[in-house]
Formats: sequence, C-alpha cells, structure tokens
Amino acid sequence: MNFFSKILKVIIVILLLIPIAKAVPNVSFTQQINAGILSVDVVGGSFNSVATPSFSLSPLSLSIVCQTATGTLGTPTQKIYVQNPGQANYGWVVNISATNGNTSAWVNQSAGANYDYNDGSGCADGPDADSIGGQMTINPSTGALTTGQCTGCTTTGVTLGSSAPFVQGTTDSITILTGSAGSEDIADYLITGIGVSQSVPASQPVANYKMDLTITVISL
Amino acid sequence: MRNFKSEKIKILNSFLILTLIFLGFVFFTPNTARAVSAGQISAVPANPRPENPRTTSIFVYTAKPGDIIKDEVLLSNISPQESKVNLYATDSIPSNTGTPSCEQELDTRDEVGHWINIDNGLPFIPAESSMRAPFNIEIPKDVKSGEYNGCMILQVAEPPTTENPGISLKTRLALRVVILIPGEIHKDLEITKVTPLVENSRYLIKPELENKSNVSLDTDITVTMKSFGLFDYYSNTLKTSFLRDAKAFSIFDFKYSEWGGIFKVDVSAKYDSNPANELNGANPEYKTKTNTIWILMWPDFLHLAIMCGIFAILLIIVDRYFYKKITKK
Repeated sequence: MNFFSKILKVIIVILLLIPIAKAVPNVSFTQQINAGILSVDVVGGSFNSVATPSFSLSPLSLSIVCQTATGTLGTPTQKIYVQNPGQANYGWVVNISATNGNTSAWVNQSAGANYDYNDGSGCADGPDADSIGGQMTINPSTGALTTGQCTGCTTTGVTLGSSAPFVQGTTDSITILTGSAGSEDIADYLITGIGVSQSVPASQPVANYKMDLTITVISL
Repeated sequence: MRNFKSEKIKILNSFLILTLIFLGFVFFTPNTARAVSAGQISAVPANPRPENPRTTSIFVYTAKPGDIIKDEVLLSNISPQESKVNLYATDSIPSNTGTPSCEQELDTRDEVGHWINIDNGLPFIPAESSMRAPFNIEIPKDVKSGEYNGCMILQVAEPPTTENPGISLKTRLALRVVILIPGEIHKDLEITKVTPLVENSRYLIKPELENKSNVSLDTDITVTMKSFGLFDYYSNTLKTSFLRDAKAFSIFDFKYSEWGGIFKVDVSAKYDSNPANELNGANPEYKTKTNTIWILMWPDFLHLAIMCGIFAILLIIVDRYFYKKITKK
C-alpha cells in the first residue's frame, strides 16, 4: 500500500509539472563581447604580471677610461608582453623612455655623483644643459619577437625597432615594437632579448646607481 | 560512551577558525600580491563619432582657436578588485622612428598636454565595471592652423617601490589626442633615402622619410624586391602614422638569398593628400611617392661553391664539344 501511494504521489507531481514546464517561455541569452584591452606589461613565464619589474646592467669596476655596461631588457622571467585584443586596429607602437623625463640621470644616492643617459657626446659632457656625460643605447633588433597566448596568431605586420641611442631633446623616446595597421587586429606578443648598453664616464665613483624607464603602448 | 554533541561543537569550532584564517588571508594580504595589472584596466574614447571609425580608439577633433571641447574617456577595470588609476595628459613627441610617442608625467606641458584639463586625475574604478572620466580641451585663441598631438595616459597608480639598484620598469597605456585647426593645411611627404642593412643577422631595407606637412600622415609604405628587376622576391606593406615635421623611418625584414643576385628595390609611400580631410577622414585623395635602388647580394660560401662547380662542369662540356668538332674537321 505504502509503495503504491508513493508511485501515485510521483505521478501527481509529474502531472502538475507538465503544464508548468509548458508555461515556461523560451529563454534567450544575450552576451556582449567588447574589444579587449590594449596593454603593455612585464610578465613571467605563465603570463603573470611581475609586481616590480627591473633589470641590471653588467657591473663595472672604477676606471680612468670610459666604459660600457650592458644588459638585457626582456628575460625569460620578465618578458615584455603586448596585447591588442581588437582595440587598436589602426596600428600601435611600443616606445621606451626615461620615467623622470629627459633631464633625468642615473642617480647615486650615496655619493651624489650622477651620470647621464642621454648625452649626445657619449661619455663626454655634450651640449645639453647638465654637466654630466653618459649615454644609453637601446637595441631592439637583438630581440626575439614571438606570439603570446593566442593560438594561430602570427607576427605579420609587427616589427622590432632598430638600435638607437637616447639624445636629449632629439631622441627622448625609442621605438621597441611597431604594430602596423595591417597586423592582426586581435593578437598578443612577447619580446625578450632587447640589448641595452650604457656608456659610463671615466672615474665614476663606486656606488649603486639607479634609474627608471617607462614602456608605453600608444594607440595610433 | 562518546559525547557526540561536544564532538560536533569541536568540529564546528575548527571549521569556524579555518574560515576566519582563510578570510583573514584573503582580506589582509598586502596589496602588491593582489595588484591590478596593466592588462586589466583600459581607456577608450567614450563618445566615438560614427563618421570617423578611428575615434573608437583615439581622440580626433577639428576645432577653431578659442574653442572648448568637452569629452569623456571610458575607463574599465576587468579585475575583481577596485583599482586606483592615474589619468593624465602629456604633449606628444616623435619617437626615433617618427611615430607618435608621449612625454612623461614630470615633463613640462606646453601644448596639447597643457590644453587638456581632466576633472579627476586619480579615479578609483570599481571592480569589474566601467566609468566615464570627463575632460575638456581649451584651444588657445592664438593657435596657428595645423595638427596638434597629445596623449591621454592611463597608468595603474602604484605604491612607491623599493629602491633596487639598476633599472626599474613601469608600463602605461596612451591614447593619441589629435586636434586639427583648419586653415592653411599642407600635406607633403618625401622618401629621402633607402638603405639596405644587415643588423644582428637581420637583413633589412630601411626607407627614410620626411613628413613636410603641418599635419600627421597615415602612410602605407610598400617595399617590393624583384630579382634582376623581373622576378618577384619580396613584398610587404606597413601602415603607420608619422607626426608632422618628423623625420621618420621604417624597417622591413627580408630573407637573405643564399644564391645571391641583383635585386631591384622599389619603395612607395602612399598618403592622403586632401588638405581638407582630418585624420582618417571620409574623402581621401591618395598620393604616392616612390624611390628605387638596386642591391647586389653575394651568395653564401656553399652556394658559391655549387655555382662554381656547375660553371666548371659547363665549361668542360663546352670545351669538349668544341674540341670534338675541331678534331673531326
């Protein structure tokens, strides 16, 4: 008896549900997908953003002659990552320049003897307003350009820049990467191995020096 | 006899403590560990004009001296937490390639960067949402006709970083602000030089250009290479923008020919020469400038050896052929 009453209850419930199911209108879902975010970032191996990205140039010993320190912008643990998910279809450019402007310099907080990053005369002090020498050269042509997380994307229409030194008032910004308007509208790219060299004036005091660079992606 | 009630209370207490520890970990972890990255915030023009599709990605205006332009930038944050951003305007400068670049926040603003006033330069963007940031541009009354470029910059407002020796890196997003003051507009572009280069094992053609206009020019630069001037070897087009009065260049990578050869290199630069047209305007009148050079590529050692071998065999065959002819007579 108990068994039959259970079966009866189930049948009644099903019969009650049928008209309810029929009364439910067709549900339509809408999904809007907007263009993504044009961005440049410094990321690690799994595309996670590096909190305080930085790199060092090769250490030098105090010398009575001009020396050159070298380094690499874009390493396996700090890759330059550019994303254009459909936001800049008329092209984009990635540039690098000094964060504190073209009158800034390599700062030595202990000894106070700074040196320049954009003196057109190299190690010697040139015609710019300051009285310090030194010049930094960025060489994107040594870099390796690959696609990022996008499967099936190519680097067509995307070009690494060419070697150039900073010169105050003339070359304050150096192009690392150019995405032509003909490049893929939705793609992402990784750059490693950009050469950086800095000529350091003779007899520069022993100390740790520091400067900041800013990488900008600009929508054209 | 087991006391199930006290065991249940113990389990509940442990669960409560673990939950509190987890919540404490989530809410009191230092901000740097949960910082919003550059790829999670964006800025685009909030009011694009349908007649100029370019205005979906940059700001393009035509204005008269003394005008005040009111507009908004749409800021978005796709991260699950509120983000404080730094929104500011700068003047534009040409990069070493002649393409638009932006001055830094600390640089003195003399032009478009100075004309732009942003209502709130340090807004908080709520998590997973967008907001409009109003700004206005006051065009000076004495400004001359021509195009003026600036930048609207969006940067994650970061806490002061530790003082590491070496080079610290920051990243930012910039949107071009292009303002055309109508009047005497002239558009002219010259290809000043075409140079073949070998740089770090890259084989390059470097066309150098000079934008002699008082406006920026969107330019299609095409490089074609033909072996002996007849057979297609390489062709590529780069579409980019050069600032007014800028000396510019582009880089084209081509594949080195192991067999060597003589190549005709044609460079063309196509731009809109209609002075009445704003950037990406609806009525372009295209003009093309060209320049041609010839380059000689030497074969590599292996292919040179193969070619010498083939040439030597041919010489021997010809020599034998004529030798036999002469001896028959």
